[in-house]
Amino acid sequence: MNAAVHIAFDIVREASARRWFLAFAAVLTLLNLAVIVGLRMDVVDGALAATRLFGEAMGHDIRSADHVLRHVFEAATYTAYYAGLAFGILACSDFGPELLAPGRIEHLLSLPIRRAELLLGTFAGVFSLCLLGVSYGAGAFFLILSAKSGVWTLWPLLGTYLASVAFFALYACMLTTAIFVRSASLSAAAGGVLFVAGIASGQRDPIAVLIEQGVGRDIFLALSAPLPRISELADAAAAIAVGDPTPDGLARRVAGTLAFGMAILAVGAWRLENKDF
Amino acid sequence: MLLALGLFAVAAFLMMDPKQARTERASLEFPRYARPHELDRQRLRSTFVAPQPARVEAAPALDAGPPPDDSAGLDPVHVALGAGELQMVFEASALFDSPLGRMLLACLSPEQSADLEQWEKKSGFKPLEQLERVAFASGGPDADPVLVLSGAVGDITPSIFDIDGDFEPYGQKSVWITEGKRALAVWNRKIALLGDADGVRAALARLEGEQPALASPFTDEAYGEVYGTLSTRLAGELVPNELRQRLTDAAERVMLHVDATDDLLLVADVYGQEAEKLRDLATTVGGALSLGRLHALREEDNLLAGLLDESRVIPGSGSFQLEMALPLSTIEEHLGECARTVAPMDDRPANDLKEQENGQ
Repeated sequence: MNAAVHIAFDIVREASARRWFLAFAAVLTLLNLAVIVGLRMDVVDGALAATRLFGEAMGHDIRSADHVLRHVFEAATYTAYYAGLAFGILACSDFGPELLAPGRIEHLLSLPIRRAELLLGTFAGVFSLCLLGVSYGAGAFFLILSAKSGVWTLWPLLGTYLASVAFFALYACMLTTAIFVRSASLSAAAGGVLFVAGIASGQRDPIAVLIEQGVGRDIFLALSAPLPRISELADAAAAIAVGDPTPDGLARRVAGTLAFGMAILAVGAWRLENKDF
Repeated sequence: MLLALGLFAVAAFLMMDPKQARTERASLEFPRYARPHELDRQRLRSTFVAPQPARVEAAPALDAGPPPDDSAGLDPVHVALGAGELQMVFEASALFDSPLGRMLLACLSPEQSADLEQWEKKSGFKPLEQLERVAFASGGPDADPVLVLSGAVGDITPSIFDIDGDFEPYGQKSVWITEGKRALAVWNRKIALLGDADGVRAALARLEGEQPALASPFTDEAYGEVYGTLSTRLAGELVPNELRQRLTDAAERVMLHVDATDDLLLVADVYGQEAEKLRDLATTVGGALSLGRLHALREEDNLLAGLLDESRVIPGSGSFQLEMALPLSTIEEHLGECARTVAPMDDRPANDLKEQENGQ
């Protein structure tokens, strides 16, 4: 297991030297700095009396600050969720192929590391990057908003972590694709397809109605049944962020998404074990 | 591979629950202007043309505004209300028929229902069926208010209001009776006036054409299920002490509109001359609403918290607007089981809906 942790650390270290991730961190930092410098909120007795972004008045009605921030939190959560997943798909697509690069994989396999640990370490490393990204980007943003408005809440950050659950399934699919075909583009494409399919699976029943009743519809329902419900998790994230009641069945959706990711990883592990290098 | 297949099956099983749609409150349509059916309603009601006076007697002088354009018909209820410190109009029939009204009626205790029934039998007057509007007006701090009832009030008798004696004719279309400082009058079998004798007399004088009809503050403002205007002195009595002085210093008049077609939505326009003071008042009111909401949440006062949750202040030029909303679900929760027995509007018999449409 130690070997998997070492590999995970290597992945994080490798990512910290990549331009993609440096640029991502820089953009997040600049956005948060812009919010620190440019956003001014006048809060009187808990009511947001005026909001200015770089001197420009934003809205002019006076209402409870936490009520106004609910909309901001909701929008920020959706943005962080979908943009974060899209970025993750693009930026993490070549970790798998590089792991399997000729020369490197042979070297790794010559070490006392089991193949499953190799897979697990790579996955854990990338997943840690995802958690770090959410914690840094969304955490800092919501912290700044809380400090400026006086409305302190952890719910928006907690909601955003549901993006990590979705990414768990997406990256499992990307990594397994890379094991089958060592291609960063194909890995990203697989992640993208699952991303879109996961969004559509939230509307699985209305789509099924459009398919003629019979074998076709049954096949569609069977194939789409285990897909991660990306859009439903996004809605749940937004609901958590604004302090609405947690949607019923969220725990099952989270567990189902994780089970889907583990199933795909199991396929990847099976392929890796049987692959000749 | 078997493990993978098993996990896929687990994933599919866990995702089997039907989608739980995220419930979001629909955007609220606050009463900020008259809707088409309210414009039509007001047009149909603007039937009053001042008659030539049969007798001209001095009526109590009032602080009259400029007389309105005689060529346009006026709403007789607005004419009766005149112009003073307070005028409020409740669209009684619409309110009784609203979800809120039906909930409140459903929640009358058996004793209250029995009392109402007994009173209806004794008086021969059924307020829930015969009243179209209930309004009241007050001329000033020392004047008692005058209650104005419109609808099928032609058969109202003095005994209903515990007044001894019979009506005497007044002018061409009215009858009235006084008892001490109180008076009751009926104009044209459509409007009943009850209250301070001087106030009733002044209203009758306007309706009979003895006095010019005063400029109504409701010319373009007769919308919503409740609407009215009140002076800042009266409005000050409705707000906490800390706000009272600021309100009377900064504002001159408050106009209210309440929509009860679904959720209870209130818009109060606060008018004043001094922009700076008005802006400060708006900020203070916004802060007070926010603090009140937090306090209500802490005290678990769901009704108040629900009321203040959607409240906001919108500063404007020469006025600011205060919006407050009380979701029907919160009212239902507050009233309890009796309110849940009320059928939703769409479940009512088709005749009810048809009548409502015709009424509009």
